[in-house]
This record gives sequence, C-alpha cells and structure tokens, in this order.
Amino acid sequence: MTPSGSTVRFYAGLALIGGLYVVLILAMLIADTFYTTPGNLWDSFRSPEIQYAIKLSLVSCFVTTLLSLWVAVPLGYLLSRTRFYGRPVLDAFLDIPLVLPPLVIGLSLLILFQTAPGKWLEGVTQNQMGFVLTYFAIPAVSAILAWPFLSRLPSRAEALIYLPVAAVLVAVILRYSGAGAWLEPRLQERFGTRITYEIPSVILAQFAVSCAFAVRTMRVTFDQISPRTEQVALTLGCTRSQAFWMVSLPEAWRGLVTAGSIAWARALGEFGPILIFSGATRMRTEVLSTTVFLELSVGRPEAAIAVSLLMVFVAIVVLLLMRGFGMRGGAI
Amino acid sequence: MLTRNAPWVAFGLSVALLVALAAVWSIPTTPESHPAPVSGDARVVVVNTAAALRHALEPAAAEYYRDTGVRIELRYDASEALLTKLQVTGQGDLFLPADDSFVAEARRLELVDDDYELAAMTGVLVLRAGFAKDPGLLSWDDVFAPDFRLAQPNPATAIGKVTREALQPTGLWARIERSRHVEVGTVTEAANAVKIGSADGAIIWDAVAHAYPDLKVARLPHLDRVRARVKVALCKKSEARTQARWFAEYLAEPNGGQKHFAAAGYAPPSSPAVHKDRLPPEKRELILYAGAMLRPAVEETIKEFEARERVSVTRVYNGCGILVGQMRIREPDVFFSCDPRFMGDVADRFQKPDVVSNNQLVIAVPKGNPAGLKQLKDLGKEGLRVGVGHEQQCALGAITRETFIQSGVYASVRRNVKVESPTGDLLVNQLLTGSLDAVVCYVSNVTPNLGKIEGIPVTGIPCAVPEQPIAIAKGSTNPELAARLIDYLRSKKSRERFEKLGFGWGKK
Repeated sequence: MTPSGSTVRFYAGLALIGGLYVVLILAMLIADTFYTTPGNLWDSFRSPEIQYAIKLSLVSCFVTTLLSLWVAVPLGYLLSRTRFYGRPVLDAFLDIPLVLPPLVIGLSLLILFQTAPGKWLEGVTQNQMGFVLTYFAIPAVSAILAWPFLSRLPSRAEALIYLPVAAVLVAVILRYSGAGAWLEPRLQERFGTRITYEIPSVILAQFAVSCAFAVRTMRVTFDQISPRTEQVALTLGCTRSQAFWMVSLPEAWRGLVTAGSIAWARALGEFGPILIFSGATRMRTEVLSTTVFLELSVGRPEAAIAVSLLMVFVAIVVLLLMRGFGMRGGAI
Repeated sequence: MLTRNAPWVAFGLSVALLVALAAVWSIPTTPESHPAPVSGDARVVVVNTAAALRHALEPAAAEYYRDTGVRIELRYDASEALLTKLQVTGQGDLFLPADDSFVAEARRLELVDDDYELAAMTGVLVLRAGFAKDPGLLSWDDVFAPDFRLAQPNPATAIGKVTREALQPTGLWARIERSRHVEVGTVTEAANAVKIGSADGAIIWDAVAHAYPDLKVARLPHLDRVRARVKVALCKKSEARTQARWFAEYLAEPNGGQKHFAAAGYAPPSSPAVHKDRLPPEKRELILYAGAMLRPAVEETIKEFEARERVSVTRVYNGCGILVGQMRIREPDVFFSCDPRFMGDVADRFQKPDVVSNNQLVIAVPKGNPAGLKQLKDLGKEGLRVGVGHEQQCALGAITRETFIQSGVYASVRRNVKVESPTGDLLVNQLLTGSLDAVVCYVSNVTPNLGKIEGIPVTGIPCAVPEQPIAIAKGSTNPELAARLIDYLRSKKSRERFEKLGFGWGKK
C-alpha cells in the first residue's frame, strides 16, 4: 500500500525536526575530524599513556555498569512497585547526583574519605585487602554460587541457614588447607590499594553518577510493565521472588540493556568527579576524558580532538554491541 | 533449571565478568618507566601540579627517576582545584601550581612552608595564525578596534588578576573592560580560543604561548609589567619530606629541572633558585649521631654541607646501641642508624625515617683466606679465633647474633669468639694485626683494606643485609636544616661515596 500524502508529510516533518539534532551531532564530528589529522589520531593511538587510558576507561566503565545494574534493578523495582512512607523523598534524593555539579560530587567523595569511616575503609583496602578477599569475599561468593545445590534441600529455611554455614566452611578450608596462606599475600599484593587517587576512586566517581541514571531508567521500565502478569504468576503458585525473576525481569530486559548502556556511556564521559577524586596521574588514574583535559592544558587541542574521536569510536562500537546483543534476546 | 535459578545464574555471570575484568586488568602492560608507585612508599614523591606545567615536569620527573630511583608521581589538575584538594586531604609532598599566587594562598592557609622559585613568566598578547597585521606593528588601539575579539582570562585567574593590577594605572584595563572582550576561565582556555580561531587575540603568559608555536606573539607596551613566578612549595603534611625537598631542589638546579623548564619556554627565575632561609646569616649547629660504620661514607659529604650551608655539624660516631643510650642524656638533631632495630628503639623521638643505604655482612679473613673459610659454619672450626660485634652495643653485633641463630651455628661459633667489639673497624684492625683469624663485619669495613684482607659474603639470610635509616628528631630545634643535611646525604655524590665503600643504595 502506498502511503498517503499526509502520512509522508507527517513523517517528513518528524524527520526534519529530529534530523536537525542528528545534523548537529554529525556536524560536530565532521568539524572535529577536519580539525585533527590522521597523524594525530595515529600518534594518540600509539601513545602508551593513551593506550592505558583506553584500557582503564573500558574496564572501569564495565565495572561501573555492572555495579549500577546491581543497584538499579532492586531500587527501580522497589520505587515502582511499592508504596512506603518517605518514598517521594527517596525518589527526589536519588536525583541528587543528576542535579549536582560534577565537581561537587568529586569534592564530596574526597571529603567523605577524609572522615573517620572513610579513612578506616581506606586502611582496610590498603592493608587488609588480601585477608578480606580470601576469607570473606571468596567464601561468600562460593556459598552464593552453591545456592542451586543448597536449594534442593527439603525446606527453604534450612537452605538459607546452610548458606552462611557453607561460607564459613569455605573460609575454614582456606584457612587450614594452606590455600588461604598462599592466596592472601598474592591477593593483597595485586589488589591492596588506597581508594582516593587510585583506580577504585575512578570507579566510585563514575558509579556515583552513572547509577542515578540507571536507577531512573529501571524505575521507568518497571513503571511501564503491567504488574498484572506478576499477579497472575503469584496466583499460579510462584513466590514473589520467582515472579520477579521469571516474569518481571525478562519483561524488563530491554530496559535493563538501556540502563546498562546509559550507565556505561555516562561513565565513559565522566570527567569532573574523576579529576577531583582520582586526580589525573598518567598511567594510574588517567581515563580518556582526563586525557582530553591534559592535552588541552598544554595547548594541544588537535591531540585532544583526536582522543575525543577515539572516545566516540569506542563508544559507538561498544554501545552498538551492547544494544545489538541485548535487544536480540527476549529473556535471560 | 536455568529459569528456576535465574538469580544465581545472573549473580554468577556478574561475578565471572568482574573476575574476568580483574584478570584483564592484571595483565602487566605497564612500561618499566611508569611502575605503579606504592602508596606511602618513602621513595615516591607526590607532586600536585598544574596540568599546564606537564611539558617541563614529565621529562624532569623521568630523568630524576633514572638518576635516583625515586619515583615522582605527578597529579595534574587546575591550580585552584589543586589548592582545594590540598586543603581537604592534605595529601601530597609538593605543591606546584601554575603561578605563585596559589603558593601565597597555600602559605596563608598554612598548607605549605618552604618554597623554591623555578621560573618567571611575563604577559604577552597572542594573535591567531591568520591575523592580518604584523605583530611588531600592532598597538593597543588595534586590540580595542570594534572588530577585534579579545579573549581575556577573568580576574579570578592569576593572569587576569595580574593583568588588571598592571594595566589599571595606565587606563588600559578600563579600555579592556569597555571593549567587546570575551571572558574565559583559564589561561589555556584563552590560548585555545585563539588557536581554534574563535578569538583574534588573548593576553597569556609567554611560557604558555611557547606551547602554541603557530600563534603570533606581540609584546605590547606595559605588558612587561604583567609578571608572575612559578614556585614549588613543600607541603606541611608531606610523608616524604626529605625526598620532596630534594626533588624541589633538583627542579631549581640549573643542570637539573631548569633545563626542562627552559625547553618548555619558561624564563629562568628572577632571584637565585634558593629559598631565603637556605642562606642563613647566622652560624647554626646540628648534632648528628651516626653508626660508626657510616663514618667513612658520610664524612666528606658532611664537610661539604658545612661549607655550603655555613653551619657546624657535631658528629658523634659510635655503636648504635651506645648512641641510643646516649640519647637519654643528649638528643641529636639527626640519627643515622646502622640498622632499623635501633631506630625502632627510639621511634617515638624521631620523625618517619628514610632508608639511605644497605650493607652486606661478610666474614673478613686475611688475604688468601689461610683458614679456608667458605661459610658461617666454618667459623666453628676448632681453634679458630673469631671476632664479632658486641650484641648489645652495636647493630653489627645484634645482626651477627641473629644471623648465627638463623643459620643454626650460634652455639658452635660462640665457642670461638675471642673478641666482641662495638664497631666493625675495631674488629678489622685486630684482624690486620693478626690477633684474630676471622671477623664478622660489614663489606664497607673490608673495602678500604682490600689489599690485606678479603670478605666472604654471608648469603641466604635476609637480616645479613641491614638497612641504614636516617631520621630527624621530633625535638630538633633546626628541623629544616636537618632535612637539608639528609638531602645532602641522599645526593648523587653521596651515593657514589657509599657505593665506593661497598654499600648498597636505598632499600635492599
């Protein structure tokens, strides 16, 4: 069927208005491309500092995305499906990272880690990381991963009791088999670190902002999913948890991918909090946005633009992959 | 099954992804020149510095690391943000903002003390590459022409503030304010605006202009009054004060950091590259307690220090145990210990120590090794006359005892010990006279007498290579001067003297 003239005009009007924004983005990219040279791009890509910044950007953004989703899914679901005292206040509270100037977030994080609890935490991550990972993190993760087997026990309550027992058992095995003694110093050496001005601060600064975007996206996603299917699942004998995991979350899959993409993209572009909270130390806490700042500071806008184009390229590739992969599947 | 266990599958996948990312991160790709510094390590100096100084500082830091093994961690930010961070965290050893107004502010806030002048800067007008008029023919009237777009850093920045102060008496500042100028946030933003072509010109520092070779530079009348200096200041809460001071001095040295500042377009400092209290008008005095074995390594350096600083250093050399005992009567300004354990005994009286050198324990025997000794247990041979350090009076004795115990030869060797001396030199003298067949001492005791005796290294025992820490007394009346003495003792020249005597440099 040939579309009518009014349909064509309607879509043309929409395309014109939307196209203006697309043209603006395209024009900026073209201007950037002509401002720099292939030589600058190649030099940027070859620089060990920039290679490090690319690597740190990718790793920190993925960790941030993962952490954001861990927080955003339960929080978004709670805000969408439940009504409790103080909910509007909490809702507004979660928007604070979105409205605060980025520099303030960085400064607030920096101040937080100068308080007694912050310093204590930094002391733990710096000096006790091997111990914490060996005797707390590994046993806890092992026990949780053993849940599919524990859940076969006759009663759920019994299974839940065995969860901490399993964790303690793993910790005891690690302690007395000698594996813990072997592992602890190695993990300490590899992962023992301060937080401020170190890599964890980059992730924390990105997380502080990205998570707010992810929470907002997940909340809207759950708002748009009718609770009716969940209620049907409950009438058919599902527990609340089963209804969430088997019905709601698969329905929210596209929202989850979108929240992940937004969190990732936001993390990649994050600059202000990182500069304040992590500093801009080359080969340590330098991410791509920091590189742009460093190049601009020494009068090399062409190099800054080259790095910016690299960021655009990396972002397009990763977002296309994430969305392509995410939108294809309909369930976990 | 998969659906029933969906939470756990999701959790497992997340953990697997995190572990994979951690594994990716752990693949070592960091080049040797950028090893990740260990926080709190005394051999890392943290410099909070303006990003605009990167061109001068990166090569200087790399060269310094090559020469001394002390890593310089450069943390970049805008000068204002650096000051805020210093105020909030107190972290960092040196503060090096883009100009000295921030150092003055940091001093007012009692965040820094000593400073070193590194460079001088003067204001210039830069013009975009395609600007029609010759910069030599440019006048202020051209700048105030209606079609000229001037990018002016706002008066909150140093260049903005100094420009206002310098040009206000001439009436030029009022004309700038009336002109169609664009206010920008930083001096580099102004320069970038001109480079991109969104402004015709900007008043910036000559050193900043050096980074923009394609811009034209005009030196208009009265702009030579727009002057500032680059200074580096020692942070009061520095954890590596001695190393920080040493690096600051290196930056101020004509053959050190100054050549990198010159290459980056900075003019040399307007005053001598020393802080005012480094040339004391009055004679001052320091008391140094040092382990006897350190005497040959430090004596010459201390004499040079006395001459250059016009101070007197009273040296007390002895066994470290004896020195620790003497501290009950009179405390020194500086304690240079033969071994960390004696420093530990008086740790509450001293600031955080720095390790200067290390020394290898050896079995010293007459040339040719007539007794055929090869290892520690050979010292237990029947009839051998052995000399060791006194276990309580000196580090040498304590270390020797520990080494014997760890090697399991303590009882057998103890039978042969004929002499216990408070210093290694005394032991070597007795070996030279022939009254002993072997002594356990440091390699630095043997090296000056290599023609007559030889040393068999004691290997495989970690405590057999003690480190020599140095620290300033908390009660010292001259901590600044004491810090400079330590700087001297850690200098390249001093290091050569230590190494010539067989000492290792820094931590083992």
